[in-house]
Amino acid sequence: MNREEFMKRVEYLLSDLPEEEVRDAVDYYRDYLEEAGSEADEAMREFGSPERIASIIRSDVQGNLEDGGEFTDTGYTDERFREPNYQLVGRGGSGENTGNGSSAGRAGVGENRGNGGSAGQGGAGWNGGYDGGAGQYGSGWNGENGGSAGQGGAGWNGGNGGSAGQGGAGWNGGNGGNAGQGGAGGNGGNGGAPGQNGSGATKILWIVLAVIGLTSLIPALLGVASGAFGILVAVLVLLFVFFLLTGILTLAFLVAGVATVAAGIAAVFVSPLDGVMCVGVGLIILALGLVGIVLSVLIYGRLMPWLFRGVIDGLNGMLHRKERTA
Amino acid sequence: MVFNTGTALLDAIVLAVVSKDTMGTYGYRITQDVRRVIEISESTLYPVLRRLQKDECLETYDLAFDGRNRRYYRITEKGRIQLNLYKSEWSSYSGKITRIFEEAQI
Repeated sequence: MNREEFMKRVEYLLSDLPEEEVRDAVDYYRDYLEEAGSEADEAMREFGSPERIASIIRSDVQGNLEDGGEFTDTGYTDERFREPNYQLVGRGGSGENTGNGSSAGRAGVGENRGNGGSAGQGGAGWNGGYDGGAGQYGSGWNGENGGSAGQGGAGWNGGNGGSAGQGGAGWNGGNGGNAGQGGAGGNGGNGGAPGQNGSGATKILWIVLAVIGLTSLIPALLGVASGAFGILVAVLVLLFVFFLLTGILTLAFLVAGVATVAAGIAAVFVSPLDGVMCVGVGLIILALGLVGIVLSVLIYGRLMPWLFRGVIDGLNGMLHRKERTA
Repeated sequence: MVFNTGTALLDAIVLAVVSKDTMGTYGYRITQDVRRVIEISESTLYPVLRRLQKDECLETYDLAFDGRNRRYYRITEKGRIQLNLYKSEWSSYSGKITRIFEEAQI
């Protein structure tokens, strides 16, 4: 690879970042090779791969280079950009990366034995498989393919895909799906997402429960139930966002309409045609605002109370049924 | 080198190297000058220069050279104050270390 191909490749790898910052950085390295003259080949060898240089630039642009480098026996190095594969290894902690790419142990203990993915960012993590990450801000273990275990908490992921323990404790023993998001959850089967927004205080209890549940079918049943609950919550949140947006848009239309009409009236004195046009547009916007008001009245006055009642009734029903069976 | 040190010393060394030229100096030469004292790889200085620039310890300007632009780095007033601080910190630190080594019984 010659100099220009090398730098072109760096540029390509960074094409998603702000153009100006990338140009500055690429110019620096391009100039550097230019200045090196007859020693350019040696400098390029030390640069390593375009991927490595791109990774250095990326970290700099994204602002996480601050406490990266240090002096070691072999001089100043930034561990994260050490070839081969310039992995993110052991920042503020100990980390070991025996696979390809990605990071092990940032501000914590991490070990990465597979390909891709990260182990132990801000905590302890172990990544024994392919892709995906283990233990981001917590402890996690990731046994096979894809998915992440233990993000912001403790997690264990023994299967393919999916993530375990995001913001809490989670356990995932099967294929796909995620366990324990924002709380504790265990997933022993295929698919489904158990344990969303559980309580943090009970997470240890839940881990124990999840492990016991491995031998029985409890996690699978739990998974189905809380999976359905998760979907319900998602639908409600979506609806709520839609309602909120309607209100905001209505208000915006009304304000914009009034403003445009006012501007139009003012403009009539300067340039009558433009002014009338402006007033017309303003009136159309106002009309849209009025439609919005009607919609808002319907939503806030009728639909929302009805929904709330429905949800509360539904929850009541569930609780009472539970009491009856207990 | 057997001693490990943090980024502050590298910042100080870079500032010292840049301060030698009142007109400023450019990336390749800074790297070569720093490499005369400590081992750094050819690629590591860019983030350091950027950080010092962001902290307003260094400023840059472009000058045409050989049919292209060469980016020069020059120390700022803030950079000099910082360098001065590093210098006095270093002399007191290294003085203490030297003294303890001289007192050592070998």
